[in-house]
Formats: sequence, C-alpha cells, structure tokens
Amino acid sequence: MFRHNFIPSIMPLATALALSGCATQAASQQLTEARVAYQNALTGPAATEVPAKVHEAKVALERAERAHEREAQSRAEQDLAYIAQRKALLAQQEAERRMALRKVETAEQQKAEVLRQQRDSARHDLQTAESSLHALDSELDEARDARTQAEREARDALDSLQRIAAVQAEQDRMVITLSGSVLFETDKAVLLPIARNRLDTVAEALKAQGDDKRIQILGYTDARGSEAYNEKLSRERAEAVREYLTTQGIEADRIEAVGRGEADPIASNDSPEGRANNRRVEIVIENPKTAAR
Amino acid sequence: MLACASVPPEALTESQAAVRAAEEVGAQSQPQAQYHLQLAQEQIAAAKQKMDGSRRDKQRAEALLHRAKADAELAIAYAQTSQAQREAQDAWAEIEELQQQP
Repeated sequence: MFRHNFIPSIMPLATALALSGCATQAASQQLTEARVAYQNALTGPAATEVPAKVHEAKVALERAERAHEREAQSRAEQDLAYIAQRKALLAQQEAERRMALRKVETAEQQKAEVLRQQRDSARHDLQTAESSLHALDSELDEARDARTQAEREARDALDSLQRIAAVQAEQDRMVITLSGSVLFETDKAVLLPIARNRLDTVAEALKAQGDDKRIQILGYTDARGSEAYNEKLSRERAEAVREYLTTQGIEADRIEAVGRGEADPIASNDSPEGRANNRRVEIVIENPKTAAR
Repeated sequence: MLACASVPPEALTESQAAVRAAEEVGAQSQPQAQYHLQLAQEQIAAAKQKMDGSRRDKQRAEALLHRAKADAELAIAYAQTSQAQREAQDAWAEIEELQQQP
C-alpha cells in the first residue's frame, strides 16, 4: 500500500506539487509527472483495454512513491518516477494500438461485405442481360420463322397460280395473264361460273403477296369491232374481275381496273388463235415478293 | 537502488535488445518514438562510460540502463501504434474508394 493524494490530471502542475506530499516534502518534477501520467492512463481507455499494463505502471509508481518517502527528491525517486511515467505512457499507447487494430478488423469485414454486394449486383446485372439476350434471340427466331412461312406460302400460292394462268415475273412487277375465254362468255362481261375457281386461286396468290402491294387489272380485246365498243367491253370485264377479287378479300383501295381495248396486242389479230390470245385479262402486281420458278 | 558490486549484465543486454527492437519497428520514422529511442541510446552510451568506474558510477550506470529500457519500450509502443493507426486509415480509405465505383 502506498499513500499518495489523488491528483486530477486537469490540475496545473504547481497546484499538484502543492497538494502532493501531505505531511511529507515536495515531490520531484519526475514524480509529479509520473503521477499525472498514471492518472491519465487510469481514466483513459487503457484501464479497460490493457489493465495489465496499467497495473505495471501502478507498481512502478508505487516504488517511486516509496523512494520519495524514504528521501524526498532523491536520485532514486527521480529514476523510479522517470520509469513509472514511461510505463504509464506506454499503457496509453498500447490501448490506442488495440483500438486501431480493431478498426482495421472492422474495415476488413466491411470491405468483404462491400465486395460481396458489388459481386452480387454484377451477377444480377449479368443475369438480366442474359435474359434480355435470350428474349431477343427468341424474338429473332420467331421473326425468321414467320418470314420463312410467309415466303413458303407465297411460293405455294404462286405454284398453284402457274397451273391455271400464265405468270410472268420481273424485278418490279408480276403479270398474271388469264385468257378471256376461260373467264367470260363471248362478248359479255359476266364471269363464268368456272372462272370463279381460277380467280379464287388468283386471290390467294395476291393475298400471299402481302397487304401493301398495288394491283392493276387490265382488260384487253382483239381488234374486231369498234374501238369504243372494245374499250367499253374491256373495261367492264376488268371491273368484273376486280369486283370479284374484292369479294375474295382483296382490299378495294389496293386494286384498280382499267380497260385497254384493242391496245397492246400480244399476238397478231389476223388469225383466230392470235385474236383469242389478245382477248385476255392481265393482273399486274407491283414489287412482288417472289419470282416465279 | 541496490548497492551492488557490478552492473548486472542483463541490465545492459535487455536495454540494448529493446533499442534494437525499437529500430526494427521503425521508431526513427515516428516523432515521439524517435525522441524516446534517442533518449535510450544516449543513456546506454552514458551507462557504458560509467560501468567500469567507482561504485557510485556503477550505481548510476545501472539506473541509466533501467531508464533507457523504459524509453526504448515506449519508443516501440509509439511506433507500433502509429503503424496500426495508418493501417486503419488505409483500410477505411480503401472501402470509400470501393463504394465510389459505379
């Protein structure tokens, strides 16, 4: 046990010196400083962080106090107080060090957590991107399939068409030629019953070409009879075909009927065969989808 | 202090070992550590001069060695604490940098 007064660390040194010692003599500067340092250690984090080090400082201070009691301000008191002060400062430093090391540990845990979150976030972004990619791939496949299907339908329709009509395909237009005699009675603009079957096939082929293509129906006659008469007949025939095709689902505003009369003969009007060939209806489609095989 | 015939050899070896340890943990680069390291070195040098002198000198030498050891140990503590605090600062700066990334 040692006797010494409690010296608050906030007290100025002179006051501390005056209070120390009680009935004994004044302490050396080293002893005073040692007492202050010990109080600081005791009231700071060192008390809880490194109690063993604080205890060492206390033991050292007690030795200095005993030396002080034996002979105030002796070399012994000063040397022991010097050491005691260093030990008290050391206890405080050790406490600071432990606190800093704990901060490092917390930081490392925090860093791991941040990295984990970033990794999860990146993984999630990747999955989202992959999903989008899959969806786009599917859309692309579907679009390709749809286009293939449409092309096939157009070809099939064209094949059917070529069995019942002459089909001439160029880059920018397709011309379907139907003979007048399979469509109409002689000199009449009324469709024959069997004509409807052929025109149904034509309608399917036209529909397979898509909704946006413009269609022109051109009626032609041979050169017999007046121009005026032939123009009227060819016009009425073209309109009859046009009207029938609209009943089969071709939009009215896509399709136009024109009477050409004797114009543009495709054969000589001097022979019966030639004249028969000239009596025809041409159906022209702009920008067809497929070329005839 | 004890009245002894000669300075105990461990007094010298222990204080010198403490000084070496302080140098190894980089006490020279931290101001407070450097200060106490220097004190330790000076006191050991003074002790060596007195070690083979009179009994009074020997007593003084032993006291100086004990003081030197206390200074050297404090120098170690200052250096290590400074190091740990730098590590903590670096670690938290790293986290801040990580969190700034988009």
